[in-house]
Amino acid sequence: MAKKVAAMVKLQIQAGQANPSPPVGPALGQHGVNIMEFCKAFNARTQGQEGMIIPVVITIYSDRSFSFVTKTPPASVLLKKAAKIVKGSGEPNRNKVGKVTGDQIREIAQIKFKDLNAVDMEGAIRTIEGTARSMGLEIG
Amino acid sequence: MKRWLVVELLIAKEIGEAVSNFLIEMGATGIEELDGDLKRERLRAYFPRDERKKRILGVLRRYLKSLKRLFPGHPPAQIGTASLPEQDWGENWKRFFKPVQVTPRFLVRPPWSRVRLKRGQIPIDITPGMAFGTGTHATTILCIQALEERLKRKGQSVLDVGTGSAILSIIAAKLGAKEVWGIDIDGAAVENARVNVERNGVSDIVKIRKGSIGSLQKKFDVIVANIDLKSLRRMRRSLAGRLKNLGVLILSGILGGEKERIRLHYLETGLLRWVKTAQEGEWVCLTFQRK
Repeated sequence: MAKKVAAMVKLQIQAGQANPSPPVGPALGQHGVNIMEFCKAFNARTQGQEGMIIPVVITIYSDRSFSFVTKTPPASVLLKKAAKIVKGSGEPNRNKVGKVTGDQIREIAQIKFKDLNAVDMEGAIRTIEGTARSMGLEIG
Repeated sequence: MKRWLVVELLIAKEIGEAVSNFLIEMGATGIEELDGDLKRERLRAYFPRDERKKRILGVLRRYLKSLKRLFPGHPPAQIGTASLPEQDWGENWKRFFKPVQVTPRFLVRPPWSRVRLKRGQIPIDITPGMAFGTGTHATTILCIQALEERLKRKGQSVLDVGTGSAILSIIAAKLGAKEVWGIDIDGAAVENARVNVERNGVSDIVKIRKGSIGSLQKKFDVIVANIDLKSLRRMRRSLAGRLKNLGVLILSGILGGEKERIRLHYLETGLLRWVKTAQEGEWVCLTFQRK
């Protein structure tokens, strides 16, 4: 039908576990989005990725109907997996909590490339390196 | 009453991913990304208990200070907080959907509406969701009015292209069409359409199919297409081609500024004559008849 975009909402939420609590409820409720239908559809689409944070962009149309797209998991999640750690550092300039290799950074940059807004692969790699250092990971 | 702690941050774009991760590791249930400024992005994190505010902010400030040491060139970070009372978010959104009297005859309402019907009024129950056509949009209303005008003779066949919630298919059936086809290329819409058709008791008349107009062989007395302008431009031949002789074509999803261009674009097919232009606010509905 004649869709006209009224708003866009970007969230990062747990795969398979969306529910009306924040951030979903307040972020989508103010636009009159059918919260239960969003949760049902998001959980179905992210089934099998449980435990992972998934970025999702919800487009709300002028009659308050909506659609959404899910993105690749955040670089931070992929970095933690690569470094085999469960948590980043609370003071990344002093406490290093793990290490990732240049190859692992490149691999993550490739996965994330389409969601990163980077001009080229070098730019994407620099972004991922920045995230790694901000989490207290050494690169080498 | 339970209260949530809302932490809002304005931070350098480069550290957005890492800070989101940190907030979630600290117990945030999720992050909302909002528009920031040129160099910074705005993140909103929700924590289930606002009594932990002091501890959360302490740890967060230490982390941001550490990032500032790592990247001295980044613009400064800003932190704000708010306290949000727990609400019934699963139900609150429903207040946006009120019954809409779309024409004197039809009342489009959400399934939970308790409003009393007037004499002779026909209710159309539409569950708002992922399909367009919740009844609140001007183009939907224009198409309903056009269908009422064109379906005065009973027993006609109708094709609804881009059916969305199936609102127009359901109304065509209620107006006495003998056969209605609702098609959509969007799987989520098709699912929602079938639920609505069933709920309104017209499944013996309305058939919902996933697919495009190209997959159809049949011809129809009336075709309604409330879709986007680009598709309307592209589909003039297939739409005109699926009309029976003297069949009626109703088009909407057209903004006022485009109406003349689209009207001429359809007349150029040589298959149609223009019947009517109706307008509601900035939106337009064009009606043609097959020669």
